[in-house]
Amino acid sequence: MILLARGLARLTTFLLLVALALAGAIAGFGSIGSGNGGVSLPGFARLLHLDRLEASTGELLGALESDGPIAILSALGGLGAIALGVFLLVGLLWPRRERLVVLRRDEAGLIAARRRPLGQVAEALAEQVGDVAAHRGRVRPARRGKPGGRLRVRATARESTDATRAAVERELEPLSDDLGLRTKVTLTGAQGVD
Amino acid sequence: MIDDPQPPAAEPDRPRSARERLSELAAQAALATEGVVGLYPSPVDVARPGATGVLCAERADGRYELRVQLAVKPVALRELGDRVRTAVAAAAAGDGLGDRLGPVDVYIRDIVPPGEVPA
Repeated sequence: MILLARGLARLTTFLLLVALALAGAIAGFGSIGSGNGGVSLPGFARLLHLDRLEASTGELLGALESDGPIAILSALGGLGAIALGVFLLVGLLWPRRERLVVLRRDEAGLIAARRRPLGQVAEALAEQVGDVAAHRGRVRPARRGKPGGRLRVRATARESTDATRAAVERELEPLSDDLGLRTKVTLTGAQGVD
Repeated sequence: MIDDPQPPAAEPDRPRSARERLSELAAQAALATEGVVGLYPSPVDVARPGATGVLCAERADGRYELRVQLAVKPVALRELGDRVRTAVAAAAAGDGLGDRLGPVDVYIRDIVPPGEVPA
């Protein structure tokens, strides 16, 4: 849920910034000219038919002010907008914590490692097998701070065979055994055949 | 960014607190451990030249909890973490601070390939 909120907050921020930039550009261009026609703010307003928009929104706003089903809908819409705002705020303000791979946790303390360098080591180990090029090594820590996790390596080989996959898995064993990781190797043939 | 393994700057004029001594001892012990390339500073490591890469916090029981952030060689990481914790505990005990030392957390922040200079 937090990931969704964070992604939505980023998308909303991007879209709002684009809208702000466009509005700024339009206002800037509109300020170049003077008068009511051509390149001027009144000219742009006429171009965008803002007078018609004002008329139609005026009717809508009038309907919202009166009692009835539209007022209930608008109240629900307002509540939804507040909920969406809170959701976006959570996505923006919720502290990010780097998920570490826990190697050991006991009364003497914690031994943990960052995911990225572990993934890079996994890629380097996979490439020890001839003709194998590792694209991506990713480590996903176990949930709730438990030791271990999962290691996933995507690689390409000239020929994607079980023997090559087994060879890559053997190369990864020192890392996966040391860290208590379950390994999954996805091997693709250079001709695009899995 | 990784600190060079160099001895901490001494400040003989000012009496050092247990927190500072433990931080410096932990930094020295970690750097002396085989497999450790350097200490990895955290954002709060400002004006602490002797213990960059070591965070020290006092616990309710009066002991100090340490977090040592390391850049290491590609070795068996769990064993390396154990060796660092043992070295820190031995250094603290040797300086008479064994009873002030709480849990020691070892965070491996970077793994430096052989022959590569830490960034």
